[in-house]
Amino acid sequence: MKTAYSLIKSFENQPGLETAFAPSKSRSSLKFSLYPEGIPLGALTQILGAGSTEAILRLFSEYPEEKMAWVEERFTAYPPGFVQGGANLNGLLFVESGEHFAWALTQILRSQLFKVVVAASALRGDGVELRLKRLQLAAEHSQSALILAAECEGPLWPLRLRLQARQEEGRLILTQREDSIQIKEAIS
Amino acid sequence: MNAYACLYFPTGLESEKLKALGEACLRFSSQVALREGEAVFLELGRSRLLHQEKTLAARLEGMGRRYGQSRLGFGRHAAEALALARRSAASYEALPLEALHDYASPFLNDFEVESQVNAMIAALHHLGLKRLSDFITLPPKSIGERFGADLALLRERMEGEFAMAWPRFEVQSILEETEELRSLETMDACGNLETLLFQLKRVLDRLCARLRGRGLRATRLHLHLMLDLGRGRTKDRLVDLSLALPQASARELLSIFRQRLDAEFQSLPLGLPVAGLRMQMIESAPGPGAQADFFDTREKEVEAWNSLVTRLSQKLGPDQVFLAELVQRYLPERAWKRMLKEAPTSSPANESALPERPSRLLRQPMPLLREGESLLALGRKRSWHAKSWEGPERLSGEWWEEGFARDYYRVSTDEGRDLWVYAREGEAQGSLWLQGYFD
Repeated sequence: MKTAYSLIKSFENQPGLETAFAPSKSRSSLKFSLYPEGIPLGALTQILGAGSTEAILRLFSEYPEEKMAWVEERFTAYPPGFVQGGANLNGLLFVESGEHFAWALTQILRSQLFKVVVAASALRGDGVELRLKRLQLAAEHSQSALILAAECEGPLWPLRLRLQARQEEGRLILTQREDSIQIKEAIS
Repeated sequence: MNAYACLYFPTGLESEKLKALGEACLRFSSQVALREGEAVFLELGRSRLLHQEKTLAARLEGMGRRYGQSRLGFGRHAAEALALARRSAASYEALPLEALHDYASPFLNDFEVESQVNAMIAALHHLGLKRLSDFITLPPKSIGERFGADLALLRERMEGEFAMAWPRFEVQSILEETEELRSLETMDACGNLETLLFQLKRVLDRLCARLRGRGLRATRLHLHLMLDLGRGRTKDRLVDLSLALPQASARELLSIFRQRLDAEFQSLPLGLPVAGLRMQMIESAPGPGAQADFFDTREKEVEAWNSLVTRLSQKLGPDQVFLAELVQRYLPERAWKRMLKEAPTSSPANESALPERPSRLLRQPMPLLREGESLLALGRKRSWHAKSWEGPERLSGEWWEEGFARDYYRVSTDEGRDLWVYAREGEAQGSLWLQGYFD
């Protein structure tokens, strides 16, 4: 069965049709010191690697006035460490979602209250593609940045950006992953 | 200037509903009065809120529609507002002489006064007068001499010179709203969730209007579903809704109920159609001002926040949705607590003066075995190669509970993630515990 991504690729020679399936090309993004191109708003971004949490906390620290949400299946975030990383605990909603991980994320995105929503557990199991698509639509509607801070089973096409965190000589660096699918590539 | 408003129900309105409407109108003015079975009065001069007559009219009419067909009148005083509303007239000059009944007794049906006014109207008709505009042109001094003191008094009242005392309005002790769901034609009850929610929205609209009038928000509600057993008999099914944070928005409450009923009906289907709804407010909390701030979106944001937290808490459990607050404890895993704030501010929380702490903490510390520079997770096929050790940081205390003494190390590994491990005082050399990691 064709995945949605291969469907997009198959529309390469049919101008117009491809955009019907492609994620939004909205250019708005959150400026971010660790990634000057910015974190896209209204889209899914994945950040992986050692230092991914630190990178997310750095993003939080650059927007102390905004509300953020941190959603995990089983809670592992350590708030004292978050404060040291620059997070403002007064504006950060923590959700320990258990089995209702995707549902909780969708509700949070739909509320349109949060600038950044972090999905700190992996999306697994059947129907991951559909759940990712739903999350992508919810993020697009709310114009929030949804950050996946864990590996997820499933296709990569709903992810607008994939970043890799790594420490180099004591400095945290974020780079775009080579396996990242860029919308430009997908629809050009 | 029109300082009074009257919402008049031409086909009448039940006493309970009229009281409920009066209560809802308290959000517009602290001075509200009722005319039994017929009308609600508002003294707009007592309103501390800014309303244009046009916008207020739209809001009052909208509120009236929730209870039945109504007409709205504005006047210089309560009687004029009633007379204009009753006859859908724009000014008192167009009113017939029969409107004098409203001027004589605006707040209650008084048969004695009615017969007296009928006699006055008959006398005026004999003179060929038909409208109040004809009556008002009569010289004021001659009215008392020719028709008696009562008609002179009525004329003064028309001019707004002889104000009437308003009857006291008391809110009902129990805040409750009901809705009949049986179709009037077929007497069929409501059988599906969507229809039920549609009707529930009406109930919530009325309930929230009354909450606003009282300056309250609900924290606990009881929804009674009256299940139809046939032959007019019903069985009560209770939905007890405790809200994690107070709520006064019908829209947000509806989404909370939608989720709750959906989950309830999945585990225990309705089985029988619903003949009626009864919503009771069981517990409440003080609410915001009666009028939303036009220039500030915070109130809406608070409502949305409260609704989201409530919906998440309903599904995930009460402690699963929270803000974190740091507390002064020596034991690292107890150095913060879960809490819920109604309206989180964006001001930064207290900064932590502790040495560097990891961003992730394991639910339970994991036993490790150190063999040279290798760290093995016992019971799991996991190992790390330690590159450097930073520490120890001695943490101890809390002797008033179990007491503890741990030496913490930050261990750099070849994987890139630093581990936060500790050695317990008195344990064998090489026995370590992994408690968190710097991610």
